[in-house]
Amino acid sequence: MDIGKKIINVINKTQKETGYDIQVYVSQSLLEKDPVKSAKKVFSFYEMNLYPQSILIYINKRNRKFTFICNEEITKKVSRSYFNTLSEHFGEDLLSTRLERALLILLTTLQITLPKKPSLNYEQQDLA
Amino acid sequence: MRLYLVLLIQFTLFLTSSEAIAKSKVINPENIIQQNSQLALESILIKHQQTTGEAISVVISNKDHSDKNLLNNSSTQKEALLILTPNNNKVKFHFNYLFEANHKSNSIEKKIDDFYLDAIKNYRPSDAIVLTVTTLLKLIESPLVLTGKANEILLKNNVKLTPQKNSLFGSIISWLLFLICSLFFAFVIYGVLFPQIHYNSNKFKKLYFYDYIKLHIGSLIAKSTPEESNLESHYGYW
Repeated sequence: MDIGKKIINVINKTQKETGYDIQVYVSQSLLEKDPVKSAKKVFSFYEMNLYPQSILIYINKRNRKFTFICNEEITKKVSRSYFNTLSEHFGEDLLSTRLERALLILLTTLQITLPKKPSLNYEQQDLA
Repeated sequence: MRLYLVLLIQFTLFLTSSEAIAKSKVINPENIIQQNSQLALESILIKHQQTTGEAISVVISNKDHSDKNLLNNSSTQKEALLILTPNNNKVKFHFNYLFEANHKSNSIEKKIDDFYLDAIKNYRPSDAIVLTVTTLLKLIESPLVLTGKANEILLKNNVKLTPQKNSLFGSIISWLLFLICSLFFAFVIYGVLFPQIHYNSNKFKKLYFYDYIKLHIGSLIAKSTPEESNLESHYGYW
């Protein structure tokens, strides 16, 4: 199966199981200085701000930077350290494999970890 | 007494002949060139005739005289006639056989024509005509131009040959337009070669230049939405 379709399937599954709206945006802009700013633009452009359970994974392939954008309520629920660990692992995966594969790993991780323990402290959880 | 009489007659003859020359040197019936430029050209051409014996006249008129040979070929004087028609940028150079014997006159017309076309682009018509006449004198190696006396006469008559400012302005504008167009082209090419990809639960879509612009304009409109302040970002790199 095409890797693009695999990504869509995993996103779809995660959405059904967790209720979170996850979207991925891959940018290739060289001129982009601040990915967070661009990610926020994308977030509002796709009207993700209207739905509080939205998570945007924004990746700049050229600048080798990524960011997760979500509503602060989600961060409160899941804890900041959950996203920090997620970022760490995603960074490592991106170094060791292709972007699409790293993305699949990240989405699968989200699919597994998000629904089970959204309100628990993820500092003690091993995401790998 | 006789000697005085002879000298007086000679002097009056000289004055009348030079007056006649002065009147016929630059013919400018439509006042295409300024008065001071006309006077300067006339005195340059008179002095040229006095030093070399070559009678050069200039006709500046928008009426087309190019087909007529206005020179008297039976003349015993070296004669040349430069006809400039500014409205269709034509230059015609007529000369008699005595003038031709001294100069390679056939190539002069082509050179003068090319020079006039260049000058008219960068200078006011009046200045372009003055420059063309001085260039003609340079081509026929007039001592007036070679010694710099022609320039002195021009300065004395307050003729300043300065390039038109708007030609520089025009070139800057055209360069700017070229730059903007090439930047736009580069953006289009960049957008086509490196599309952005958006995945959601239903599909993945490649965003090209048009979508990219739409996204940025859309986000500019939606910039003031209060929801953005509630957003949290978690940043990383590899």
